[in-house]
Amino acid sequence: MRRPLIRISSQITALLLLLACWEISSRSGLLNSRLVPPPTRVMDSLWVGLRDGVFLDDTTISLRRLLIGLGVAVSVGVPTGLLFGRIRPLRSAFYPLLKFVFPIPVAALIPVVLVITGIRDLLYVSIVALATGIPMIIATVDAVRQTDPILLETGATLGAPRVSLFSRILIPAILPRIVHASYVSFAIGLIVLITAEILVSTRGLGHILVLAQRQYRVADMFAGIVVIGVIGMTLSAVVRALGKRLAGWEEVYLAKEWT
Amino acid sequence: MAAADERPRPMPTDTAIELDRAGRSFGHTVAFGDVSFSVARHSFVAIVGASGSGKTTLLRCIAGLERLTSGTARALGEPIEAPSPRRVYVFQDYSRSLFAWRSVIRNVAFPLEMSGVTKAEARSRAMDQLALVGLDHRADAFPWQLSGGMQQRVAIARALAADPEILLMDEPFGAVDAQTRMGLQLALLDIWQRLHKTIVFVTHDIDEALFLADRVIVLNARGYGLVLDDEVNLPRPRSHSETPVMTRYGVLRSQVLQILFEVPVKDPR
Amino acid sequence: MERESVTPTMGESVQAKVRSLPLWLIQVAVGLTGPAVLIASWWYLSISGSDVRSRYLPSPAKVAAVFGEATSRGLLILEAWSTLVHFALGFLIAAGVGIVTGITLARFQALSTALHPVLNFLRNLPGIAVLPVFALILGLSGATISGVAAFASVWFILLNTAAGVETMDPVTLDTTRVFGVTGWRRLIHVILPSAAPRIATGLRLGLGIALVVSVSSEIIIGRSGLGFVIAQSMATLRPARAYAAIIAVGLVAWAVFYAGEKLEARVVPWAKQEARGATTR
Repeated sequence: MRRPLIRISSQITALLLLLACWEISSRSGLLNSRLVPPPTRVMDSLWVGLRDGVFLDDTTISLRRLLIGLGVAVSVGVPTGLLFGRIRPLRSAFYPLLKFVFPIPVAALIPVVLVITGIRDLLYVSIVALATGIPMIIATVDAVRQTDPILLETGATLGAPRVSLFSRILIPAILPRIVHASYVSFAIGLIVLITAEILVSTRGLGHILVLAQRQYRVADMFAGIVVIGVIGMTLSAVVRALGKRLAGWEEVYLAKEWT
Repeated sequence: MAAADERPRPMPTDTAIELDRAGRSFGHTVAFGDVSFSVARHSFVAIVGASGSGKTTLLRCIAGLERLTSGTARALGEPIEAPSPRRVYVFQDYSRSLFAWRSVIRNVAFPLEMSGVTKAEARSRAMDQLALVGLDHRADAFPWQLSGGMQQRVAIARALAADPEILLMDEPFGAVDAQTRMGLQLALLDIWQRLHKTIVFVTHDIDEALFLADRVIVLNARGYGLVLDDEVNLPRPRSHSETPVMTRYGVLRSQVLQILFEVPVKDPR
Repeated sequence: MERESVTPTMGESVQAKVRSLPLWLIQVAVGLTGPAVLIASWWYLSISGSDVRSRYLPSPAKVAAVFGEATSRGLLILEAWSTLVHFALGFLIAAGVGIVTGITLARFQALSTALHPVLNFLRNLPGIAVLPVFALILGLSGATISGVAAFASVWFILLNTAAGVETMDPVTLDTTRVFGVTGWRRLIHVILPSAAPRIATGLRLGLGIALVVSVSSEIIIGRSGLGFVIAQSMATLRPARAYAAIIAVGLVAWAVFYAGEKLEARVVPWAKQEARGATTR
């Protein structure tokens, strides 16, 4: 499978084959076509949605919520992590708490956050920020603690002032780990956002699904899932590309990055 | 060679480093103790010791990376309190010391940037340093792309870029193969002779110490330093083929061994 | 060996002053600061502020009381059990399907390459997105919740298993040929143990995802389980109960997490912890 042409054609074939099986199963009645519509109908619905700009609007809204939430998480989480990483009393005081809170599914807090913020964008942004911020802080603290002390000593002996030790050595040194944590944060953020949007449904991609479900428009539901999936894939690819730009010097070549 | 910079300096003395009954302990463990010696400016001094004899700790104290627990240490007329680019320390583990996110030339330019030079000027001066160690053709490579010996040369070029008075080197050639090491030793001697730095070189290899240095300081296993009374006084330029077979070389070697292991050695004569 | 650091942190002067107290006392006190601050601010918020706050933010004391009561009456435990059942079922299905499919995929490289885009799509799809569809098909039942949890987590297990088997050391494979070990025996005795650390990683990720998705699904459509309790309590204006359930969720999550790590250590003791420090759920 080394030649790209063979690879791509096999992938297209596989996809078409799967779609064909699905189509046949649905139309023949093997799968209840009222619950699992054939892909052709899904594609119709997809086309209509795209044409009418329905997907566009809701996608924009969801993306905005996601990006703002992530932005908050990173801009608050990373400095906090740096602070905790370098100041031991702070770390001893709060790090255990963070590690304790970490496994708790943030989705469980949605009903609570809801009453605090009301049904507004702030709800979604807060949930995303919370769900991604805590892992970000933990990852940053870990990264700071695991930075090789030799790097800082090298900087000191070469005449770097305190500030430069921080900005010109510590930060670049932890960047790969932060980037890696961001990949995961992104995925978590999207999951949590869709969850919130399904639960509290006012505009957004999750809302599309819920609306279609309520009106039994199954083809639209599946179309929505396709859109969400494609967005997930695209965002993932973009984040990875960005990550490579920021921290590409790490010659850690993962065998297959399917984790 | 970089032009003299404008940093204010204290009155130059003939002594670069002065240790008086210096010691460092960690709780009950003594790394080294009661070490006294002085290092003349522009000289090349080697510190030899067995593993665990505290020689790295001693060098780190001179560098200001660690503090003495007893005695005093002075460099260039001032007490040693913190790391300073005037006493640059070159790490043994160069792969961890080089900045992975910077190319070779930007690594070397780092100390120049720190002293306030513009990026462009820093780059051109860094190029000069790289040329000195023969790596100007790999300027834009990244450290992980280079061999061990080349990485160590980058580290040395970076140290030189800080324009230190004193170069403190911790077993810098320990992790390379014998051939490369010989080449690096000659390159270092060449740099020393051209730039007139004061060099303090730590090694466990007696032959390396005798090959490179003007004076040898021996730390025995108990961590107490004894200075070899005679200066090394082997003719320069040193040569790997000729110097080790000189009579005086053998004498010195026995003396060092004697101090190291405190075993009386039969008079070779 | 304490080394006086070159770049002293701000806390060192404070530490010096406090050094006279016994060490364990200091450590305990500092460790409790975080939770103490949290509970203190919670208490403050619940007391002060508007009517809205006091209605929806009960004091920690009240929550603790409700928690204690619900637990002793067995209610929370019952619901926790429901949640565990939903999640475990989903996870086990995902594990079974994921590992088997992963091994198969690794065995037939051509298939693996051909399906790569499809699998990539499914991996990046937030599992919860299929909940409305599953709900339509399977109704508002426990099966739906388990189904969605299974769907969400299977990809991580599948892909990690496939990767684990694919990236096996060729030397290991050659060794099996030298010893004439082939087929099933090779699979069980050589391939699986060799891929085990990677599979364990996938299972650990899948565990986390399955739990999160289970709880989330329960909140959205559940009729039982802790998620359902949270949603229902808030809807019926009994916030203390919701908070108690959230704490229960936290405890369950912790138990699952802990059990997962212990199991991993037992089954794959040689697995090296990823030193990258990235946190993964």
